[in-house]
Amino acid sequence: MHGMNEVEILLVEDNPRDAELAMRALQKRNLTNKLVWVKDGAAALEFIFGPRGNADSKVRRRPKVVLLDLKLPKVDGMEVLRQIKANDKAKSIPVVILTSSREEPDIVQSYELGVNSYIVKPVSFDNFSEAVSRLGLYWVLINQPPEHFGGAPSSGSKP
Amino acid sequence: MLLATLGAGAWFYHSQRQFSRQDAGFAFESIARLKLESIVLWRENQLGEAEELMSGRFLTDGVARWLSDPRAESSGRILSRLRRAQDRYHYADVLLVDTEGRVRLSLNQRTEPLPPETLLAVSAALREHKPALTDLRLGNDSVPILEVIVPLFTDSGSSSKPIGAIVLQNDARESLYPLIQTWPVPSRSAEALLVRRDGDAVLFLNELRHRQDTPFKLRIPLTRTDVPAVMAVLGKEGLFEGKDYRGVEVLSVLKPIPDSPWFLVAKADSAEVFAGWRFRSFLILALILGCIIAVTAGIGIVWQRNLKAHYRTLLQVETGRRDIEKLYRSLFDNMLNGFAYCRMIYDGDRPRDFIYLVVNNAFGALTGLKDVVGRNASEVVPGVWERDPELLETFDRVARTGAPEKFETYLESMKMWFSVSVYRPQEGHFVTVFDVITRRKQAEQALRESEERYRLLADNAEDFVSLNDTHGNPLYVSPSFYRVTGWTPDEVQRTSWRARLHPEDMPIIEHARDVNLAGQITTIEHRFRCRDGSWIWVESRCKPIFGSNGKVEHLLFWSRDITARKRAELALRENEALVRSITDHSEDTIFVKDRDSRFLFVNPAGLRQTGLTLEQMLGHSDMELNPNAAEAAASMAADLRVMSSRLTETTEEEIVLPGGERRMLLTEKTPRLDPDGNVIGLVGISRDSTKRKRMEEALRDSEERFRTLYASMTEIVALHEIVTDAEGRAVDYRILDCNPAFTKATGISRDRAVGALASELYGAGKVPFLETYARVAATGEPASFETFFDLLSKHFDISVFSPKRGQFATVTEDITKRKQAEGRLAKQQALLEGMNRVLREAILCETEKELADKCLTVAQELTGSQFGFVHEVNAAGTVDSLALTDPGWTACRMPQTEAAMLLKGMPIRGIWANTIKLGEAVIANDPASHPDRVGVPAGHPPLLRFMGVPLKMGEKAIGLIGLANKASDYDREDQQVVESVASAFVEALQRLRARQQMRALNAFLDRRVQQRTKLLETTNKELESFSYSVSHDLRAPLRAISGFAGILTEDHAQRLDDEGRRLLGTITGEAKRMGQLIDDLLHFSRAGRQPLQATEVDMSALARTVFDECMVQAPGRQLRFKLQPLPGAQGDTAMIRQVWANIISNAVKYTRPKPAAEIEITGHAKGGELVYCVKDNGVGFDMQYAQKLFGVFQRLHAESEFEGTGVGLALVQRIIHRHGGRVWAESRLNEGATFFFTLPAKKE
Repeated sequence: MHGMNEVEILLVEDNPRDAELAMRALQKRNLTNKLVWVKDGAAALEFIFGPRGNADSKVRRRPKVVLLDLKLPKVDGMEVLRQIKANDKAKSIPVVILTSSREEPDIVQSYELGVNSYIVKPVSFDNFSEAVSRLGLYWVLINQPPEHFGGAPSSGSKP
Repeated sequence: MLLATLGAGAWFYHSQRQFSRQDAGFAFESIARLKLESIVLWRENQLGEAEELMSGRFLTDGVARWLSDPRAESSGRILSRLRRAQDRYHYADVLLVDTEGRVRLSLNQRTEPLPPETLLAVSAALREHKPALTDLRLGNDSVPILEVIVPLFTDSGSSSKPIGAIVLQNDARESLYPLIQTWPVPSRSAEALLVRRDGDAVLFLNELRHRQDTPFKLRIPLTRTDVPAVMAVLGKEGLFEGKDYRGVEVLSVLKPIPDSPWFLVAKADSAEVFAGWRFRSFLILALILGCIIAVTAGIGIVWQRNLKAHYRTLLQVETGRRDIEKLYRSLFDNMLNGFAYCRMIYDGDRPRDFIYLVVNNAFGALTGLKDVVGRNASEVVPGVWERDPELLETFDRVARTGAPEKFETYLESMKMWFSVSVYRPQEGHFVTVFDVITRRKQAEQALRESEERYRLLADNAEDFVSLNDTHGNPLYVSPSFYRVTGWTPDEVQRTSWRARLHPEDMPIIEHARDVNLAGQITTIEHRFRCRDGSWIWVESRCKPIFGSNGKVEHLLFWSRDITARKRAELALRENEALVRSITDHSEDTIFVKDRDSRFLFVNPAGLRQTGLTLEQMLGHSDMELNPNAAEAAASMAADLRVMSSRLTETTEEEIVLPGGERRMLLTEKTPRLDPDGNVIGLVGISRDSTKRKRMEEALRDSEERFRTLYASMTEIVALHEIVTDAEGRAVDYRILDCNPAFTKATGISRDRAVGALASELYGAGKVPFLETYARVAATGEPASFETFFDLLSKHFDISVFSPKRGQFATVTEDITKRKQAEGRLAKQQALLEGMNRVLREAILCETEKELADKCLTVAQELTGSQFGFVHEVNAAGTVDSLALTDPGWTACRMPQTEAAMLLKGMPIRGIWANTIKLGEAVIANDPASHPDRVGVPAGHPPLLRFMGVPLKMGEKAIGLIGLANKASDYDREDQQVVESVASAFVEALQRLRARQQMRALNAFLDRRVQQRTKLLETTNKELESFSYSVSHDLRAPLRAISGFAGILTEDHAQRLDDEGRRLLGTITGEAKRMGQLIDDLLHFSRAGRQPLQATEVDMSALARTVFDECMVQAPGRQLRFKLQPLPGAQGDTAMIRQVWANIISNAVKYTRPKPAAEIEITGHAKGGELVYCVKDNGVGFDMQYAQKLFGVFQRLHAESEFEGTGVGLALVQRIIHRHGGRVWAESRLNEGATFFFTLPAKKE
């Protein structure tokens, strides 16, 4: 399994079919080595901020991109986005919404909360695969995050 | 013999008495005549003075100016002229009045208004253009006054306008009475009276000898016909015996005074008149006795003695006559006027002279002639007949004809003016009574003469002389020329003489000069220009002066200013024209006749009347012209009378016009005199008085109408007389007359009413309205009042006025109907007021209790009740109290909660119960004895009077208003008032209840709306979450199907055969189609829910952009696209864009099979809408499916033919509908389609 420090993509998706299709598309570009898949919002938040009750609001992990579905069990995607972007340390983590909803209110609200990108999942397999793989390539390989956050491993995460 | 002697004696006695009476009568007759003459003369003098004043232009003009503007003219000059008149005739006062009769000036500074009789005389004088005398009247301070009215006019002639009048007031005591009161002979009882008729009595105008303070006070009723004064006013004339005002036997002479309402009564006590006779009668009796004795003494001696006795008797008679003679003499001698009794002396038929037989003292005093009796006039006044021949003619005429004459004359022989009255006492004799008026006449004459002298002087002063050369230029000019023309000698020298002559006169002047130069004398009239530019007329006489060579060297001119004469000529011409115009336009006939009654002039009105021409009439008399001989003769006789008497005569006669029409003609003929006073004919004015007659008839008709009106009028008219007691207090009144309406109204016949006293007529001792009536009768102030007669049960309006003092007339009108109407009106107003108050205030009431309270208050106030209640029948059939007045609660003597309990569910019984049971009002003014009474509960205030009025809804009584204890009994009126309040209350109650129901219903509806809204909101939310679920959850499996099919194709395709791969492809395709369907459906759903964000939309740009996008979607297509300029619209840009996209993409799609595809977009505004239109030449559609076009998932083509989900046009329709527009399409299969949509025009 990958070390948490090397995590580049956090996939938050409750639907295993979509998750499989997404990961398959990413794998074709070899982007799944440092991918963590969580199935609900609560897990996503715990992944980034640590367990609940951690009041210091420190960012435990800093993936290169968070692929976030909106409709999630426990804590929905919008809330996850809100918490990440509301935290000064975490808000620089790129978050990309990857959802079936093309409802205008969802799109507007996401951007207001500071989303980095909003992608409607295409129904067509080809289009879907194409979109996700491009997305992964862009954020993991092309996009340049700020240095001091970038590859600096969190001290507390070491075993 | 004895018998004969006795008979003769008796006859003698009687005839002697008659003789004596005649003698006395003659004396009286003479005195009366003298007095009459003096009074008439006095009156004429007054009028003469008036005429003089009237013709004085100086005074008239001054008065005119002063009256029109008192500031412009000093009143001093007018006053001084009036004062002169006063001085001459001793007027008590002289007044100046204006045309309205207002006193403007008075010598005595009196300002009180003139009495009506004087005002009437003023207006009459102004109307008739001649002075007038008023009757005697009692002025201030009981001074008897006689006024002379002098009317003043702006100008003589037709254009004269009245200015005002001067009123000369004579104090009769000073002026008139002395003429009457002096008695020419010494007498103990004789006196003269001036009387006139006054109603049914004779009124004494002057002071009496035997009684004090009588003028205007003493009246003797006309019934006493034995009183001479009464006889006089009743028209008797001459000598009469009777009893005078003292009841003493008197002998009197009665004479009417001409042109006045007065009568003269000259009288003396019979006892005095016959005193001489008594002595003689004694003698006669003695004589008869002597005769009888003588008869017995023997015939022979008897004859002798009888004869002697006869002579003696004659002697006695002669003595008696001498007494009378003495009487005469004293009479004549004491007269104020001159008197002469004369006999004419004739030479054959021709009068030669007259001889003075008797003259009085005044004769000598007035004329200055002495010892004339027995001498001829020509001896007394030498040369009298040479100088005054007319006088002899006049006296001769009177002595011959016996027609008295009266005139004013100037006797050249005596240099005196006389006012003369001549009459004939016996054939060949005449008497003149005269007054010398020289002083007055001299004053007039002097004025005329001075004027004449001045004129002559002036005439002579204006002559001027000039010596001119042969060219007419002056060498010498007399000073008078400069004086007259104003030029200076210098100016005359410097300038041409010719420049001073009038251009129009030049021909005659030139001609005259030619004549002069030929040596002839000329006289011409021409004009000279004065220095001030005016022109003077001169009569210029020119004489040529010859030089030594025998030629004319100079011209000598005598010129005289004749401007005044020229003006007079002009004025005369104008005057003639004026007279002509007056006569021409007069409606009256005006004619002039000569001494032989031949017409000399007739005006057009006269020609019209006779129907003859002027030529036919002139020179002919009535006798020749008028076919009606009787009319002609009468007219000629009148002509003769007028010309011989020299008096104006007025006749009224009916004539027959040529057409047969009858007319009344009032003709006045006046003698025409030449300047010497000779009668040369007459002037006549004839007026058609038919009109006046008709007016008199109309007046009679009018009077008759009034009488009829009086009889037929519905108002009761009655005339009454106040009856007073001994102290003069009004105690009763008597009916003098009443009209039929009186009888109709009272049932009292006229016979019974007239003469009856009010106290008798209207019930024992009752005298209605005595005080008011007595006041009206006493003061003359009218009154009117309304009253109600219990007996007749009628209202009357009575107007009272007083036709004369002590009487009053009532005009009574039955106004019962009006009164009743007024009463009804007042009641109606109270009802309306009650209803109004209830209805007005009811609107503010929120509860039934409040409303009931209000209504009860109104009912209570309107009826004056002490307390009241409003009860309503409840569902259980008992009654609940809705309201109880505060006084009701206050009066209640039980605990209120307990009382309130009692007021619920009361059984319907007792007095008020009938109100509900019968639905009728109940009035119980004595509830204690009412049969239905059940008593009141303990603590209930005492019930004195009660009224219950039902509250009725339709026919049903739903409750009642109860009122109690009004101060007086309840009546129908109260009931009506409360009934109206009750109906208003029921009305208001229904309204209130309706309002309450309405409010409840509204509240219910509000709740329903809120519920529905909430439900709708919930549904919307659910729908939203449903769409969300659909968009999210339906797509996930699709994606899985598509995704895993894709994986299968990618990773395991080689393991599948062709059929397997085809099936896999189908799965992928269908999944994709499913995804498209879901997307479209979501889109459609969103279009319905999303709020519109309206902005300006540039439709042309939008359509162009959308088309371009569509073309990108269809690469390789060749299309002709035409876009006309489109009107801009308002709407949600994104949605409108969707509309364009769907329609244009359709057009692109369905033209695909066409080799030359065309799309045209147009748009225009029409009737408040913007219409947009997209036309293509594509495959089109069958119009029978046009309805299906806009349904969701409705398609007209196979998926394989044209792709699509069938949502596009449904979406278009939804968006357009949401914008308030319409959408439709027109097409024919294979011939293209046109899609239309509209949007509302922009609101400005």
